Amino acid sequence: MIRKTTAMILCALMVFSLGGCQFRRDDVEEYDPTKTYLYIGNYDGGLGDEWLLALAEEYMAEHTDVIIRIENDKDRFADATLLEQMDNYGYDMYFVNAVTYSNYVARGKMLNITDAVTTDLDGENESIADKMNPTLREYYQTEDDQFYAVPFFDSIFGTVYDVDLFETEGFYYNENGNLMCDDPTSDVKSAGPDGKMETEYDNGLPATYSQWENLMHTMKYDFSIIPYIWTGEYTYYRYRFLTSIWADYEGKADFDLNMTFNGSYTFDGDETATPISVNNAYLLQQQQGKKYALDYAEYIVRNGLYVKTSFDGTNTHMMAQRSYLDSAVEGDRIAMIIEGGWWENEARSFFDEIVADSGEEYAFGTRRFAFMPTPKSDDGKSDPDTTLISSTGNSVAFIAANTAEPELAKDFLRFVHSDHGLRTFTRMTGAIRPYDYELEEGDLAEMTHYAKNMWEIYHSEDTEISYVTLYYNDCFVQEASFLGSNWWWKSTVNGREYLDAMWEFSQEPSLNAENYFLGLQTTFSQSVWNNRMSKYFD
Amino acid sequence: MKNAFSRCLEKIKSACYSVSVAIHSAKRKIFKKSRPRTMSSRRRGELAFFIALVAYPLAQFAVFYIGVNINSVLLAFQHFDTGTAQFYFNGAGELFDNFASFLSDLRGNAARITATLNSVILYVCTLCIALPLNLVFSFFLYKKVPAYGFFRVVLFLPQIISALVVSLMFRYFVENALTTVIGFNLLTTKKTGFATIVFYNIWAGFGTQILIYTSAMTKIDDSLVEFGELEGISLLREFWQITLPLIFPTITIFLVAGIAGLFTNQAGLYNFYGGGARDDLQTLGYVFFVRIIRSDNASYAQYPYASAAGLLFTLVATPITLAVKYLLEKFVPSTE
Repeated sequence: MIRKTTAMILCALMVFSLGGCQFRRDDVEEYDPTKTYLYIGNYDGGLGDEWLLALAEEYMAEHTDVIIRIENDKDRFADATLLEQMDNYGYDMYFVNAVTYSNYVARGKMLNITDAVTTDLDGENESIADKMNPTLREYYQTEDDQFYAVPFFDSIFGTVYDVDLFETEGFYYNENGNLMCDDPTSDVKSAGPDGKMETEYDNGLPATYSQWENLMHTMKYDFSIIPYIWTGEYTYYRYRFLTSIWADYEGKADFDLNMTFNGSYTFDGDETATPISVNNAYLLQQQQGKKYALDYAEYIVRNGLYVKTSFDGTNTHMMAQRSYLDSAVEGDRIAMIIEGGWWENEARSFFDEIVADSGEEYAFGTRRFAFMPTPKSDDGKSDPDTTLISSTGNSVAFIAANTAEPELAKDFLRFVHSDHGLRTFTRMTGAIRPYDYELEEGDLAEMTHYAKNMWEIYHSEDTEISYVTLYYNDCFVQEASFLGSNWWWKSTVNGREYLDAMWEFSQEPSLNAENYFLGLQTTFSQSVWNNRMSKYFD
Repeated sequence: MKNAFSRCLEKIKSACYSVSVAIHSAKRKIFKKSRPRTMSSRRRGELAFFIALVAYPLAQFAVFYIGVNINSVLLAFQHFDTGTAQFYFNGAGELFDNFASFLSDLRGNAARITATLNSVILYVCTLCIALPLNLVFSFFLYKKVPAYGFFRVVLFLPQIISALVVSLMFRYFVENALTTVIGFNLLTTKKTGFATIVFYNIWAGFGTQILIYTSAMTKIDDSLVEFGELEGISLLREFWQITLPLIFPTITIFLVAGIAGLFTNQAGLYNFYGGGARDDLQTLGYVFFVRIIRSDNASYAQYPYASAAGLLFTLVATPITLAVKYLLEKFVPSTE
C-alpha cells in the first residue's frame, strides 16, 4: 500500500511538474466569469507601473465589462527568457524593456497589429504609426509593411548635473564666456553648446571642450567638488558615456553608420565622401568623434575627476544614485552623475529617505537636476546639432500572438497610445515615449525639473536621437563575438587589447587618448576585417 | 613457457565448457513445455514503483544531458538565421565555419588568449597551492590538532553558504573593508585583479577537498599508524610515507577532474561580475558561459560558435584527461 501510494505520488509529481507552468485565465482571486480579462506583463524597471495602473483604471471605468490585470516582473520579461517562456505565461500583452524584435517576429510570438497601428486613433487625426519616431517606425515596420510591436519608451543617456549646485556655486557660464563664480559682472547665461539663447535647457552650460575643462578644474581645485560619479557595476555605463560624446561630435547621420554600415562619410582631411558598406566599415574606426570622446575620458581619469568607488563592482547604479543624492547633505559634494533618463524616477525612494533625515528641501521634485549636452569641439568640427543616444530603442509594447483577447488588447494598446495615454505616461514617470505628442501646462506642472528639462531637449528641433541598441544590420547578430561591444571601444596597443577606455586610463600610464584611438584602427584593420567579414560583403 | 601453455589449455577448457552449457540450456528452452508467464500483483506493484521512481530522473537525464549534448554537437555545424529565428546546417563549404571563427579568435584575439592563460594559471595555482594546503590542513585535522573541530567548521563554512553569498561577501570585504586598510582596491587594480580571483577560488574551494581528504585519511588502518608511531616516525614521515600514498587515489580524482574542468571553470566570475567581467579577469569557461547565458543580446546566434568551441575543448581535454589519469595510475605510490 505504501509503495502504491508512493508510486502514485511520484507519478503525480511528474505530471504536475510538466503541467504546472500552464497559465489559467480564471486563476485569479474573485474571478468574475461575466467579465473579459486582459492580462498585461509589465517590465519592473525604473518606470514602475503607476502609469499603467492609472490608464487601466480609466479604461475599465469606460469599459465596465473589462478587467485588466497587471503583473510586474524583471527576469521573466527579459529578452530570451520571455521569448522561450511567453507561451506558458499567457499574458495578452507586454510592456518590456528590451527585446530582439526580429527573433520574436520570426518565431511568431507577436500578434500582427498593423491595423491597430496604422488606422487613426479615436478622436485624433493620426495613427500610432503617424506619431511614431521616424527612425523607430522604419525599424519596427517589417519589409512587408507590417507592425508586430511598437516602441515603448525613450531614455537618453549621458551626464546629469545638479542644477541647485550649479546655481549656488556659479558654475554656469555667463554671456561674457566666463564662469559666473569667476565673473560676477553678469548673471546672464551664455547660449550653451547649441549657441541658441532661445533654447534655455542648455544655456550657461560649457559650450566647448575648453570651457568644460575649465569648469572641471574650477570644481575640483577651487571648490573641492567631485565632478563625476558613475556605477562600477555596469561597464556599459562608461562605454555609453563615451559613445554619447562621440555621437554628438559626429551627428546622427554619420554616427548611425556605425550600426547600419550603409551610407557615406567624409573622413578627416578628405574633400569627398567615401561610400560606406559592410565591405569597408572598418574605416569608421577613424571617426574623429571617438578621439574627441577619448580626450574627455583621459582628462576625467587622469585628473581624478570622479568618486573613487566609480570603478568598484560593488558600486551599483542604485548606490551611485544614492551617493550622488546624499552628497548634498553629507560628505564630498558630487556635481554630476552618468546615468540614463530613468534615474530620477528609479531613485525616488532615496529622495524620501533623505527627506526623513534632512528636510523637505531634498524632496523628489524639489531638488533640481538637468541633462548636460556634450560641449562642442574647440576647432568647430563637431556637428552643430545635438545628437543624443538612447539605449532603449528596443523597448516595446506588443500583443502576444496567442492572446485570447486580440481585439480587446488592440483597443487597449490604442488607448495607451492616444495623446492622453502618452501624456499620462510622461506626467507620471517623467520619461518620454518616442511619439509625437504635446504636454499640457497641467502635465508640466506635475513633472520634476529634470523631467521637464529632458522633455525640452528631446523635443528641440535641433535634437536628434541615435538608437544604440538596435540591430540595424544582421552582422551585429551573427558576429557578436567579433563585433559586439568590441566594435565600439576595443583598442589594440602594442599587442595588448583594451576595451574599457576610462578604466584602462586609470591602470595604464602609457595609454592616452591618441594611442588608444589609433589602437581602435588596429583592432579593426583591413586585414582583420576582410578575414572575418568577407562573407557579408556585397 | 610451460605456464603459458597450461594457462592457454585452461582457457580452451573453460570456453568448451561454456559452449556446452549454452547448448544445454538452449535445448531445455526449445523442448521444455512452454508455460504462460504471469506476474503476481506484488511483482507488478514493485515494477510500477520502480518505473515511477526512475522515470523522472531518466527523463531528465535523457533530455538535459543526452539531448542537450547531441543538440550541442549538431549546433556546432549550424548557423542562426535572423529572418526565421531558426538554426540551419551550414552549407558544405561552410560546415566548419564556427570552428574556423573560434580558432581565428583564439589566435588573433588577445582577450581570448588572456582567457586561455588565465584558465591555465588557475589550474596550476589550484594544483600547486590549493592541493598541498588542502592536504596539510586535512592532515592536521585528521591528527586532531587542538581546536580541530573549530577549524573544520571554519574551513567548511564557505561550502555551507551559497556560493553567490560567499562571493558577494568576499567582494564587499575586498572592495570596501580591505581597500580602506591597504589604500587600493585589489579587484579593480589590473595588476592584482586576477590574483585576487585565484585567491578567492582557492579559499572558497577549501572546504570540500578538506572534507573528502579527511574522510579518506580516517579510513587508513589504525594499526598501520600505530605501528609507525611505535617505530617512532615523525609526523612529516607519517604524512609522506603512510597517509599520502594511501589517499592518493582520492587525490587522483581531484587532479583528473581539474584537468577535465580546465576549459569550463568560470572561476566564480559570474557571481562577481554577472556578464560584465573585465577581459583581464576572464577564463575560457566564463567567456563561453556568458556568451550564451545573457538574455539581452544576440545570444542565439552565438550558440553555434560556443558549441564549436565546446567541441574543440572536449577534443583537447579528453586525451589530456585520459593521459593524466593513466600516468597518475601508473605512477601512483604503492600502498603496499
